[in-house]
Amino acid sequence: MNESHILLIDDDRDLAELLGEYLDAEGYKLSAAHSGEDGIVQLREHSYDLVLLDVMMPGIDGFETLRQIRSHSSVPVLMLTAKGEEMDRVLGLELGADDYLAKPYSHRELLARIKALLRRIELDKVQQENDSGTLECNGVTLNFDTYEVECEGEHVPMTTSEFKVLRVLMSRVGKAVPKEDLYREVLGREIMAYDRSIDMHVSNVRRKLQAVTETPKIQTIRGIGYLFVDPK
Amino acid sequence: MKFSINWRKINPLGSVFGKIWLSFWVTLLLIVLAVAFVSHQVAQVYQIGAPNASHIGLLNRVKLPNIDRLASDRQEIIDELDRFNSESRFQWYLVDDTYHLLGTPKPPRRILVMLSEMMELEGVKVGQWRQETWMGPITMSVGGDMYRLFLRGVPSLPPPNLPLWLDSQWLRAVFALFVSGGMALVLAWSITRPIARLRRVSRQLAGGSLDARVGGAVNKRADELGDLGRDFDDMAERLQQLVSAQQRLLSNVSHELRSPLTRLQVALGIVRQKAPSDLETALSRIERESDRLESLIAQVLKLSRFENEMQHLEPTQLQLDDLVRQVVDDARFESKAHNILITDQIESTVNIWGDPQLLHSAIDNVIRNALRFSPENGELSIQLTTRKGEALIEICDQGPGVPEDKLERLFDPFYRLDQSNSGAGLGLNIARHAVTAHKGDIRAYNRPEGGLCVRIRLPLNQNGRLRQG
Repeated sequence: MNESHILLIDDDRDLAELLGEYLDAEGYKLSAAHSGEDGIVQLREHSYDLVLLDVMMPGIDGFETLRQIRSHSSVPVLMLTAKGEEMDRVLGLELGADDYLAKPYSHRELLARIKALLRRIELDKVQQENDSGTLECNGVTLNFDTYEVECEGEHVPMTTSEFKVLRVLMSRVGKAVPKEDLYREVLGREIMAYDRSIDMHVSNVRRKLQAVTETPKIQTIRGIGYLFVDPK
Repeated sequence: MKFSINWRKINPLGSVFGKIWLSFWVTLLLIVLAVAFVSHQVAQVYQIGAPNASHIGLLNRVKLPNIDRLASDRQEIIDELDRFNSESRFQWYLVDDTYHLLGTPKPPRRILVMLSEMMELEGVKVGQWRQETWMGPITMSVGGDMYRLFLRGVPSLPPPNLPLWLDSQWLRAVFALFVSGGMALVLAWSITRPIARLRRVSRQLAGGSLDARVGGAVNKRADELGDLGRDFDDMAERLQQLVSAQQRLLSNVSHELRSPLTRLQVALGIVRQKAPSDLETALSRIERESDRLESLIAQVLKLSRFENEMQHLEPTQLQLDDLVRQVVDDARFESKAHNILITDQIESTVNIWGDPQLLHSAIDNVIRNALRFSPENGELSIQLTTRKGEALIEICDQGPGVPEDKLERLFDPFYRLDQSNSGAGLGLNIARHAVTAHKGDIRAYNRPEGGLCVRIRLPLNQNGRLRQG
């Protein structure tokens, strides 16, 4: 099997060593960078399947690192935030992180998230081969070749996760999509208690669309999930 | 700015403002009266006026001393005047051409000054100083020498004419009242304004805005109030430093404690990968204990952060039913793993003034606690109702309940009924903090059919007046 290569950006060297040993036994190869700058350099020189990015770092912090990574790469990023820092999660997801995990995490949780993200990438690859052309609905157009979104003729920049949220909702236009399905199809994992990742992705999509158009495109269905409005 | 009179402010027994204002007013009034009295006296000193009919009549009637006879001898004139003056009701004085005054008794120096002025005026005048009234000069020649005559003891002059607006006693009183009252008001304002400013800033400080400073106009004053303002600002500065140092410490401790815990977790994963299966129980135990340590740190941090937040409540108008529904939705995900059924009965549109985050964590902590003690396949019921101006939230589980004598202690920090449960014992304490901050109360009781109920009561109308600090 093709071994996945993960980059850990965290200033805690002991943790990097331990994680390397642990993930090695689980069949992953882990490289470590001990600062944001170092991580960005390594990402330019090698290709990785996944980045684990710590928020609290001396020098440039996790958010700034993420911003710089996103300027040239769409590699999946799992943010490691401090527990209880709601703002950290919002900011991380807004800047284009794919998922977050609160510190201190258990080894099982970490492994589960890594597997989920990597599985999702595999799925995406298959889907990308099947998807082509565009999907147009209620003034919003998804281009599967370029991963770009247009709304009422204007280009709207979206992160990969936000693009996927739109794809899932628009492929079932006019029907309520349960949150569970969104987690499975967008993040590749099950929903958990106190989990707001999808809500934040959806609210980002809404905000970006609202900058271009007045008419609301996505409705909240209380207790179930979200719905992409059918114009008919 | 709205201007309204606060009558209590004028009461000298209850406010510095009134005390200062009234006492200064009275003082200024007395000063005005004193000045008026003195100025009146001073006006008497140099009053020179024209003689009236009674003066003229007197001049025709009055007896003259026999000085014509003795004209040549100056000393004899003096003796004759002495003799005449000591016997007569009116006294005569002569001024010679070298401006020497002849006659006794010798008048005070002020009279001499007055007489010299009278001599410079045209014709006969009447001069008055205190009780003495003189008339003159009358020119006459005695033995070829020119003398000017003055008569002492004539009737006094009428009081001088004052401007019309000062002539009426009433107008004068009103004028004094306005001038002195206005001045006292300005004075009282200048003293109480900085006090009001100090008070406002100290309330802001107590309300949690630690960057509130007196500053500006007050601190530029050179008096005691300026000193007080500067001292107050120094104190606020120090307070702010201490609090921010404590907050920094808190977040550092959080980071420093969590890093080793994360490493411990990963190391545990490695051991599990390699350990023989007979170590499984011990490893599970280690894992459970490290989970407990983590939740303890999280709760302690939450509690201290929470106590911080209580200093700056941000009450808004919110819909309590939405908030409860949100917490219930979250709890449902958690309960699925244990097959616990959550039933809810939530009244719609319950508006309340409150801090959404505080209320959320209060309800959330109670529900989590109930979930922890619910048996597998049990049922948890959550109700939101309103009655008599208060919202009532009831959360009932089917757990083992709590002995009656321990019900009160449930809300104490770090209190755990059963040492084996994994909570830190802070959840219900946080809930109580949050509920009392909203002037509500929280109580637990056992249901007759088994299980524990927690009832939260929150007043609906408090006009936004929550406890500050």
